[in-house]
Amino acid sequence: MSTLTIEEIQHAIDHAAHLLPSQGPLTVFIHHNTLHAFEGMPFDEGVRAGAKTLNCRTMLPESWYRQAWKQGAFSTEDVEAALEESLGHEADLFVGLLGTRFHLRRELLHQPVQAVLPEELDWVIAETAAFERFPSTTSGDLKRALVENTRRWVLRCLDHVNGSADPSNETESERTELKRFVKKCDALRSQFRFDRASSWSDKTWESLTLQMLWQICFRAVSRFPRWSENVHFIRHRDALLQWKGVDADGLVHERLIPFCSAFLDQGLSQTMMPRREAGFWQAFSDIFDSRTELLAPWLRPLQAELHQVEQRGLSPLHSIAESLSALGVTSAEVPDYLAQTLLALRGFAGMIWQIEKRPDRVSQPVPAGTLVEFLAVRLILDRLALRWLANQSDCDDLPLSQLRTVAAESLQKKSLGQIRSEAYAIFQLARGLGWYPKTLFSMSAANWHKVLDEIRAFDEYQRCLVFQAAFERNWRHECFDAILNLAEQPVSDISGISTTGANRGAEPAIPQGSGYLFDMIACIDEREESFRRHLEEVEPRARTWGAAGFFGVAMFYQAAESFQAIPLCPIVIEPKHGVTEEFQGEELAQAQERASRRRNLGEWQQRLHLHSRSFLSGIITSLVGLLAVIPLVMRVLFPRVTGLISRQFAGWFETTAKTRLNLQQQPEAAIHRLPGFSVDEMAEIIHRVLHDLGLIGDWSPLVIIVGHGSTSLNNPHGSAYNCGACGGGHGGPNARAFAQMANDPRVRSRLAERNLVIPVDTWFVGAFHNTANDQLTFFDVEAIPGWVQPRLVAARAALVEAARRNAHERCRRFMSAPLQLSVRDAVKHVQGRVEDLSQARPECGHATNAICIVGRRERTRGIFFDRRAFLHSYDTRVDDANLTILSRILGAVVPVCGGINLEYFFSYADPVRLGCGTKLPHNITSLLGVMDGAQSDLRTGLPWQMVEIHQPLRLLLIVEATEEGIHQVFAANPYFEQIVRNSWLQLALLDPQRPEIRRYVRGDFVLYQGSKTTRPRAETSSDWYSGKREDLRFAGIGPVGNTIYERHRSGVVHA
Amino acid sequence: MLDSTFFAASAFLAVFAPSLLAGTIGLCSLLNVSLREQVIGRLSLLTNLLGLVGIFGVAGMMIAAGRTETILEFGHWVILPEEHFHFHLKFVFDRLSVPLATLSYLLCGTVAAFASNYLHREAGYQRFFLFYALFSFGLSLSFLASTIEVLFFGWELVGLASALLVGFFHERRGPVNNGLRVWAVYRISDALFLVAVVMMHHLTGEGDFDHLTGQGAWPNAVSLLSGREAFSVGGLLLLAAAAKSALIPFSGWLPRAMEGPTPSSAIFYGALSIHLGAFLLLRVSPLIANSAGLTALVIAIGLATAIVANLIGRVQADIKGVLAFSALTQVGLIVVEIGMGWYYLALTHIIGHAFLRTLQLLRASNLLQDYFNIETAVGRKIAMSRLSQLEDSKPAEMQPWLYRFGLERGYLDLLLDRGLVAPWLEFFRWCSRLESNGIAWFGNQVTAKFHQPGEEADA
Repeated sequence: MSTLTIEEIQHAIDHAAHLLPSQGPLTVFIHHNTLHAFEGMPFDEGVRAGAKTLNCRTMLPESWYRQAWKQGAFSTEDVEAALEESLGHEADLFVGLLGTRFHLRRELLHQPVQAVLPEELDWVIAETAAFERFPSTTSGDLKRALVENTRRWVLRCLDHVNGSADPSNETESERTELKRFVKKCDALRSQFRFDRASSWSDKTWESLTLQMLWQICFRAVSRFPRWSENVHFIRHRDALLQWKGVDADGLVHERLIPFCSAFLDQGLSQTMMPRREAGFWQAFSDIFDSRTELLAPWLRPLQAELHQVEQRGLSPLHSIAESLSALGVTSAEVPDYLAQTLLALRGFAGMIWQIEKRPDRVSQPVPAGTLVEFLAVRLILDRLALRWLANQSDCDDLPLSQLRTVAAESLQKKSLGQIRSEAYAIFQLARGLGWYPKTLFSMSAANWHKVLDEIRAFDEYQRCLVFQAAFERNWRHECFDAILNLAEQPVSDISGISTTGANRGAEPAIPQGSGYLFDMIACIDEREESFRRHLEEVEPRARTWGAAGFFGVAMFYQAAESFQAIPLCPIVIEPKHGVTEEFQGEELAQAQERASRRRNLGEWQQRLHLHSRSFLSGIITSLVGLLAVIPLVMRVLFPRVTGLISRQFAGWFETTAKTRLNLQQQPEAAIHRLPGFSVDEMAEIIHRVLHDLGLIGDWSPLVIIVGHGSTSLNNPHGSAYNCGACGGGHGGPNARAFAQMANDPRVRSRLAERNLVIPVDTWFVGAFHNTANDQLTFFDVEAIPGWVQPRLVAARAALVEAARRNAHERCRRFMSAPLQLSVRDAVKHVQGRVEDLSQARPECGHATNAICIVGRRERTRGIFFDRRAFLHSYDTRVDDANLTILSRILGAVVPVCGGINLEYFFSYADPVRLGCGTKLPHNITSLLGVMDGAQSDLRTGLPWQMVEIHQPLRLLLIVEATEEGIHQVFAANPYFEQIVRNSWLQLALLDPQRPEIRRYVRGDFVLYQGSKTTRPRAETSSDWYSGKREDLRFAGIGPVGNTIYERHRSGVVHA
Repeated sequence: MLDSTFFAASAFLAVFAPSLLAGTIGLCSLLNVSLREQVIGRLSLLTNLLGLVGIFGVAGMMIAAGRTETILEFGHWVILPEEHFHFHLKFVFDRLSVPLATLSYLLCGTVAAFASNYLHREAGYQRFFLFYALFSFGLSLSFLASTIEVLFFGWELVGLASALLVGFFHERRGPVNNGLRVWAVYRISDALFLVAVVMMHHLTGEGDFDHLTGQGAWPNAVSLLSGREAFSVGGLLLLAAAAKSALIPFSGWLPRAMEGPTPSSAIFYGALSIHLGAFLLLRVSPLIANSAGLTALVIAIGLATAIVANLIGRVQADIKGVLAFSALTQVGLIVVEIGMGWYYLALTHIIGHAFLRTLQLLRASNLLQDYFNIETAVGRKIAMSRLSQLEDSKPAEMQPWLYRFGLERGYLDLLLDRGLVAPWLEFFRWCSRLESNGIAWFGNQVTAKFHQPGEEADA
């Protein structure tokens, strides 16, 4: 049936491959939007399409939002404002009996409707009093009004029917209505004795009211059933599963999963798959082309099938075409069919596709075209499994090409149940909103149709979108208020500085006229927000900056002790330079001795690892295994002490020799065959990063650059906790390289030529911050000139103290850390977590991230952001007329932060299908990914333990720029414009001159009118967060009288 | 000294400490009371500590008194003189049971500490520890049992807890299916065991081990049964042990059992319940020694298991599958050792292997980091091609048919399905057909009697 050409099929496969998860090997975890394939659509449509195509949930369930509403995460005002915004000019559309569309939808939002399956409905009717009594949540007034109205109406009608009223008063329409009413009563006559209506109790009336409502709703819905009641299946497997209850994928996956994991294996198993290098198809044919007596019965025709393909010399694509036509897939269906077939085992298919595209990222790459071969194999297996299962279910003579149609026909008759369950939803609405049976009864058919259409159009997804917008609105306003009111620094102070960098030093600096003690540049990562805040609290004369954590140094880095080089830069950049860490000459001998000890130890570990699996040497290993009791018991019961001991022990093997980065190596000398940086390139990097930050004058004598990363045990997702800007690696070497470059006199003289003069007495020091145990490492401190030393000692003490406080703040989110922990114990606690084999949550990662601010630190300094804000420094006065700097900052920040934010969002929304579920049963497979337990698809996304405290909010990106400026950026960066236009993030502009914020709404920038009058503040961060586990709101931190607002009040503000 | 109440108390603790945990959590679950994580965690550590104190106390006193075997008696519970049946509740402390009970408490304690952290905030926390407690109680009963009935009781508890933990994540289909499969294989094992118990009662009139395995402390006892009797009872027990320890032909369930949370996989299938079959063989070792045929069978099954598991293990590309088959290889070898009569070696092998495997499984998720560290130290990739250099005896390439044998896990599942399940199902289908045919025939008789002749022709 399929008449597509081979090229068209190839095209369809390429297209479908974009739907696959784009997560690569776990060792390099790159955060990305889980629904990246749908970014071309507006968010509202994208999540709906994503849910349908990927068969998952892309928003939280309505009940979650209602709970959040109840708990005050957003207010009724937020809901109504969000609804109004979502409707735009359609808000005032009149929709029949219930007023405007806005009114109807508002009522629907206020009225929770319990969705009931047709099967459940029988139970509800039989076992609950749904048609007898109003639920206890209904207000008394509403209930009385409904019952009373019904009572009067029914009694009046009965009077007419019995002829006791005067018939001459009746109009024609009343007469027809009465006729209908009599008919209606017939349906209820078995339960209610209408002849005794006048003596009915209140309870009987209540019951009658509800019964009438139900009857009316049911009748209305059955007159206008939902549009598409047609049963339709894309895949045969779904048809057979629904129809006969047998799952073909179960059979296919049981064979395909072990084969795929063995084929993709990077070195976990002991034996290479035979003929692996010949490709997926060939390896599969070779292995399964052997005697079949022992095979599962459904696979018996496999050998003949493979032979047939081979004899006719069919390519995998031809085989796919043949399978499609055997399955009766029409040309129009092919794209969807292939997409759904690939998505059935999306983890493995995605991994194949990722490795095929980026063979440089793995040690055992796969040839191009593997995904096509995988699909060809899969379709053959699908056919065999379907055929066998169909035969087993007494459909021997049904050709596979007709399976879906026949199944759909036999499943067609379910619609009555669906009507009933929708009618029940309408009934709940009518009951909750107090729609009178009389009104509904006399409503015209056209009117009913309109109302039903309106209600159907506002389904759960639409409601959730409104709730989501309300949730975000509330958060956004809090954030705007905080930025406008709580920062330490008045805007007038900030904006008065002249726009050229050269004479900035003359301006009054913040704490003291003489300038700052030191500067600290950290990653933009939201986990560094608290670290920076604490540093500013510990040392008010410190200044902090945020830049993407690779600090412009994109390199392949080879550590002194390592034999391989790793890329340290964002995934989108392919490094052109290599850097090697080298031992200093005199220490080489010691280093070599340690290295050889380490190699011996490593080889023993490797032997232990391999031999424990093997045959006879396994016996010896097992006997030696008696010794395993020591690390086993120690590691589990005393993790922190064991960590300390093993680090002591490691002193034997790890070198303490001093090293130096070789930034200018010869390509021949390096493993990666890449050249080092030239002086010009180094000067360019420094120039660029310092301009990004806006740090081009007003120098302090010490600049500390802090890269970050995370360590943990038993954590396959460890790389996801590392620096995203370093491609899931540790950013320490980048910070070190940056400092080394900036200290280089040759670089400084080149910079001076380019009008960027770094004073001779300003020194750069690289450092590394471990975000899991809050330990700091400083690089190359012995190379520091003597006159910088005292300053470094002071700065170091401040940084260490800030890291300790940071550990304390982090502990409030760990349920297993007591709330009353002292700073000292908190430090111990986080150190213990990192060494603990049984710790599934070494740190909270990016959970709760929600804001990204690109602007000067002065605009945010002194605000408690609760570790939820990515902070990138940017000074619009340093930028050129085309805003080149802002364009390149946003070009990097938006994909990285947006990717992190949306990955957390969707992994939280559907932890099972978009996240990778709980970590507890994870099973590392092929050294590439994890399966659940013994056998499952490769699991992509984030584990539940990483996202459980997340708040699903789209990233609020606040840029310190003007409206004209951002339009320039839009023009320069179409991807950014598209993401903003399609609302995958929220954009707001912070005016560089005034305390004003404008928000992007459908192409316009709308000025935010401040609303909050309370201005929470606390002396220190710890005063604000101590003793609290939950999400905290913003607060001003610092001595009273320090915020803009307060200074305005007390008249301290500069004119 | 061994008659003192102090000894009795220690021995009692050694046997019954885990029942404290099982009782508490079980009762709370029954009454729908949910306990705090901390309480459960502490309680499970406490019970294991009590058990350890008990077993160390017993061991210390036995060493001091120079005894190699001591019995803890709880008297006869059932006596049927005319049937020659009695049920005797007693426990034995000897050179086999004391080391294994110690092992069990040490490992259970460690895993409890691990799990109480690892399962933090998991919805099924209490359920996990309930199964864990049942498992641990079952183990102490089995290891210390001195009659076959008590051993059977412990054996059943272990099986039940294992199957329930395989299906721990019951919201997914895989774990439930696999749990059911494990349970089915365990039932086969239990049935064989039960037949052995009945046969033993038939032969000796009681279930006490000293009649089965003879007088004298383990492993020096000599069985009182004749060679043929030993073969029949021992053969049944061997099959029961094979199912429990996933020996051939029952190996298919072992990799499927890796569905629960990692700590449960570690302790059950890496360390303890996988060795339960081997323990049973050790317990009845005099019986095996008594029959040359049985000895040969034990060695054959053990060897075949070791070879097949090694072949399958080489192909697995997921860490839990690799560890499962590595463990099975060693269990096969342990069984061979038992067959050869090297009991102390087998015992040491069990203990060492259990520790090693538990550690390996508990840090299975650390594999990526471990590989990175080893590679950095050694200075090269642990790629598959490198492996042939390290293990130069075997080629890294496998024949496709052999590779497929591994990939299909030795066709063992299929063998069971076809050899055991299919005939069984066929038998019941035949019964069902017989029944419906019978009813139809009967129905026809009735209708023929009451219907008027000629009516059928009209229809």
